[in-house]
Amino acid sequence: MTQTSSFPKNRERGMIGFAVLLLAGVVIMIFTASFFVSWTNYQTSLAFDSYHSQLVEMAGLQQVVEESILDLRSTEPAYNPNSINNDISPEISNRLKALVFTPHVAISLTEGTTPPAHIFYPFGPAATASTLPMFSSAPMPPGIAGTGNRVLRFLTSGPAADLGTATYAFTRSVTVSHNPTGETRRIAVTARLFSVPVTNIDCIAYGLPSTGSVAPSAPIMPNGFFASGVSRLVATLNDPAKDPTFYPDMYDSNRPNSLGYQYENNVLFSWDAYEFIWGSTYQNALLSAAGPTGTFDFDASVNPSIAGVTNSRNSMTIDLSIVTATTLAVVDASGTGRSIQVLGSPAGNSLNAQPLLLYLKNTGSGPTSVNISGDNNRPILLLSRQCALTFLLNPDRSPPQFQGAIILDRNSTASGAVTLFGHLSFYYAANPFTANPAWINMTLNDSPSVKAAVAPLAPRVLLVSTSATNEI
Amino acid sequence: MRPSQCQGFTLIECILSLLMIGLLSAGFCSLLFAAFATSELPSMTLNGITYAKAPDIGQMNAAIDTQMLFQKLQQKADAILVFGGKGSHPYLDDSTQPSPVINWDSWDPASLGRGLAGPTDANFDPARQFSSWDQRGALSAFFTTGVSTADFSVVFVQGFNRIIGMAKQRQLSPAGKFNGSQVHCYDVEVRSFDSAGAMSAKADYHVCYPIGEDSWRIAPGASHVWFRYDPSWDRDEEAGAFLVFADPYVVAGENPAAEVLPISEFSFYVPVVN
Repeated sequence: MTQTSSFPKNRERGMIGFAVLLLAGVVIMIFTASFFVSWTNYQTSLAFDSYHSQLVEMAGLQQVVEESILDLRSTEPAYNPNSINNDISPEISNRLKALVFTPHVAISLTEGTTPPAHIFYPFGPAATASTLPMFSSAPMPPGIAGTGNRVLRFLTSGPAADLGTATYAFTRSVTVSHNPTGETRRIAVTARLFSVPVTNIDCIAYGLPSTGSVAPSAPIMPNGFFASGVSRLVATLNDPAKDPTFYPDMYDSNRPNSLGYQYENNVLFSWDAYEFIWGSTYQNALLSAAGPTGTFDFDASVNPSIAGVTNSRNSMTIDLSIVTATTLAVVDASGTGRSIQVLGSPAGNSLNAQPLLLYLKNTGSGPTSVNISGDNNRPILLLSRQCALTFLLNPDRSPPQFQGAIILDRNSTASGAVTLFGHLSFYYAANPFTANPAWINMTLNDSPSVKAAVAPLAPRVLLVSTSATNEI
Repeated sequence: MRPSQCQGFTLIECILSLLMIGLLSAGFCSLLFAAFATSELPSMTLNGITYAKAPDIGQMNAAIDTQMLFQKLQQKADAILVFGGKGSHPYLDDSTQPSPVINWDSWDPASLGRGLAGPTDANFDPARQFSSWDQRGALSAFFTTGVSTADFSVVFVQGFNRIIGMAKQRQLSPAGKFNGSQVHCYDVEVRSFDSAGAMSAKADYHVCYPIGEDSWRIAPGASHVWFRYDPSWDRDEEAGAFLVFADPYVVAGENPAAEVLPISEFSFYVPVVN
């Protein structure tokens, strides 16, 4: 008996096998194609993410360099090149440690240079104002466009000095298991430093976060106080519960005292600079600059003969048209019962081209009375420490015109009628406008010529602008 | 019982199989490469512009080129002004309605730049560039109103008024249906300009979605974020704007009402003050 098999014949088996093989091949191709599409998209997205990450890293490194220089330098003029050399690299490296990079990415500082010195009066002659074109065809120095509006705001408000650049190189290495040699890139961050007088901004209502306070909301200014085109600056905390002008969009209740990065330079100008100005380093340096021949002390048994200064027992007169010193200091350890008369320098006076720093220092229990009369056409930088300034009307009952910069400390007030040309800064937590309703007779005007004239003597702030390049 | 004779493929069958598989693979791959290289996938034409239906790899690549140009401009700009979207001003503008954008056809940096505040402005104060709002009045001659919430214009400024680049997104809702669905068409275009105002680079992508598939977790368009409005101290301070561009590849899919939606890969926060 012939045994019949249920299996197909050889030829049929071959055809079935071929069909199965063909089907399998097509299925594999479809899966491969699908995988290919997804993989391509994944790789493209990955490449874009990597590009985006590197941009973020570069921005982070720029910020690290900027913050490191500012942390060491800021308004501090006491500059020791060796100290800076020693400190800047650890400062940058420490900040680098705080950054979180993409997995397998490591960034380290490999090269660094000494940032340019930032010297200003009275610690030494201030850097002269630079010509800072917005755009320039010359590669060095480049135009200031591109430095960012955080810096531009201050550079374009008055004279500023370009101190030069410092470059820091970082190595960015990526190491992954399938490519042990990885990829190494060099990121160069160039910091450009500028020395900017605080007087560049016409009006600064400042806070003292360390030695005083930062009021939650800006002072209410009298109508008409700011003339057209006056630049003004106040930095308040971002707490909508305390400052009605602030919107809660960016408020972080866990960090109520934090401010956005774009406020960095505002804070340097309106908080840190004034901590420095009213600190002992700057104050003592001013007295040193005035020296024995330029300092009048109410309590001294004998005072030097100073051109433009006359005095009786508890009062003195300063004629700004006669004073020849660059810095004139008046020291009063008592305050109460003492008075100072300041006479403005009329137009046409030969000394009007020479700026004068007038430092009125009262460390007593009450304010020194200071009466200012007459139009003043000499650029004066007046630092008032615990003085009550009163601007007197001219004989024709018109308010005097005063050219210069007035910096009031927390215990100073001002009243009367005056048209100011230049700069005014005051500690706004003291709210001088409520206490002195006579401020309503004051007007502040922008004056580029006055700002330029007082710039050599004005306290300054270091501003840093950074740029980065990424190279293989 | 196992058959006594179990025969495998014949030689000719094997050769034929390999040949067929090779031919099929080559054909499939060439089709695939053609699909990647050109927009042969479903597309529609509107006003002379071809919109690929998302998801589309070709437009995804174009989108990446566009976004890279966008980011290069972002790096160089001193100020980034965003027009359109929600919340263009927290006090003076209805934050729920879209605000005007620059006309789609206005790309001339010289004429637009003249409108931006500069040193010749009597009220000049660089702090004004803290917000796009302050520049809006100056550019109003170039504005289009009644736009979609997805529309926005970004102007990259160096100095006070040199426009180094612009980016625009607009959403169109054409009448009629595409393959049975109503669609939203998106145009995204970025241009950079040299110092003479001539266009130095351009990148764009054009993509359409059945309505609902462009519902990313964060809706396309611009949302302005504000710090404060304080006219007495000239603090018209906008923090920046959150921008969501159309994503040609990652779409919300067929369930736009889902609890978890994808996020457009091209979502950025740009500060006004750079």
